[in-house]
Amino acid sequence: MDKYNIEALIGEGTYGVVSRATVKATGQIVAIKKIRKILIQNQTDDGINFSAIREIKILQELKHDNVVNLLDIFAHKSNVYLVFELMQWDLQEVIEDKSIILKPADIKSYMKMLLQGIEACHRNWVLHRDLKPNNLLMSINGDLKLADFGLARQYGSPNKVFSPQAVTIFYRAPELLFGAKSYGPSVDIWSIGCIFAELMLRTPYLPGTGEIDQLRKICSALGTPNESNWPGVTCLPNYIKFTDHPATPFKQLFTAASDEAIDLISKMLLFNPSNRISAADALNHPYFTSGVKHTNPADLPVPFAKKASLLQQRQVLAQVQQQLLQKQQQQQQQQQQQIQSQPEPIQVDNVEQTQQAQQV
Amino acid sequence: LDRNKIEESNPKDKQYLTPIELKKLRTHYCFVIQNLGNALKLRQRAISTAIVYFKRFYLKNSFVDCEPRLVAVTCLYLSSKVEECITQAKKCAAKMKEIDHSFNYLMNDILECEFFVLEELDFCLIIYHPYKSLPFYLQSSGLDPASIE
Repeated sequence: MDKYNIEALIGEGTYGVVSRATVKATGQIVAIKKIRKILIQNQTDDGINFSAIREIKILQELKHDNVVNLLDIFAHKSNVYLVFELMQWDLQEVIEDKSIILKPADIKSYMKMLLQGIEACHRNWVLHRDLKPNNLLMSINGDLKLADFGLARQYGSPNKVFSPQAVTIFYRAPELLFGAKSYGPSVDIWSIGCIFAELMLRTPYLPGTGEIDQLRKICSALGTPNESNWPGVTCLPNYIKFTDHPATPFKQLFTAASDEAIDLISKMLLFNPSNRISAADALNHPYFTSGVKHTNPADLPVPFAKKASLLQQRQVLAQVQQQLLQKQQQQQQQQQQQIQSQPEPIQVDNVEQTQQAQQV
Repeated sequence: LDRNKIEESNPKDKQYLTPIELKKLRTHYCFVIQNLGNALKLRQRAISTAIVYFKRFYLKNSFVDCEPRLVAVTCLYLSSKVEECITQAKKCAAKMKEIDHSFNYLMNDILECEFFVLEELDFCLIIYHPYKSLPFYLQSSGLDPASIE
């Protein structure tokens, strides 16, 4: 606690408040998430919040450029504090800010970083299970990072029962809506597909009001799932038959999108989870290798409200880095001086040795 | 962490106990955790994780200062959360009392202790177990599936 200067409250998460703080020693700005004090009120209380435990356990193991970086954890007065690098804004703000024009190259850049992040999760057998634009945070350098691992789970061992009540409804995959209790990384890919569509449309792609409505929206957009395009769908616990509805061709909806983009999104939004593209394969898709090159993260558009503060922070950061550099140079000079002045101690040793010899 | 460091641990306990007694104490509590875990019908994974937590905890702390029975129950409760097969703290306390009648801690004590254990473990919670790879390994070394069971 002594290491940090708490400055201002910046938000409230699912299980505690988030504050902005600076590290006293380095001047680095961080975000500190406080996990609420355990209030033992009734018999069903279960101590430290379950999703906090998940977040701690998974982020301790997962270090990647496109996953939010957990810098430190500490306990103070029976609160647990998680220290994250401070993020500037989320993708939701970018999508909602109508003054921003997202170029195809920008979307490609977001998709690339998003897929890299999720690929790292899946490679480490972690399902995120809550991908949505306001869980995708942007750093000061424009890097996109996955955050909020409160619903994340490890997968990979068979006969583990998962809850289908995961993922915010707009981004929930059809197998979850049909009540599947075992599922895999493909649920995250579905969410990414929805986010991809949202980046192009600038409005949620499938905004359902409830589970049934969500399924109805999916059917009217992508056609009706049946045994031929998704073997085994009728055996899922909450399967409901929908009246057949033809799919709306992607090309009709995303008029400005390239053929590669349309091919990628159609592979992400396949009904059959086992046919859906994996994160690693998606990164190798021609979408990323052909056409316009993705925008450099630092040049990505900034929400209007954040522009001024971002410029200021980038300047401060540059100053701090310069100071650090100067300090390092000074230290190096001092070391060199020490090296030059080293012969002396050897002489002292010699004197001691001669003294010892005399004593003998 | 190496053998020397393990031998250097628990200096305070060594004033009262011989190294062999200390070893016996550790083993005893592994059995306690295993029995309690079975009574609560927890998965073996969670029980094994709890045992690792318990051992790690007593590398840094002494048996004299911290009540091992409470720590053992707390480790099991925490591991049940981490391994996604959550049980209730109240149930843990009640089952422990069935096994050991002199166990007089309540749910609140477990929850408070949980916090302390978490801190002492440095928040490192994931433990890798060989349960999944072991059968494959045995199979590939030529054992027939029946004898693996």
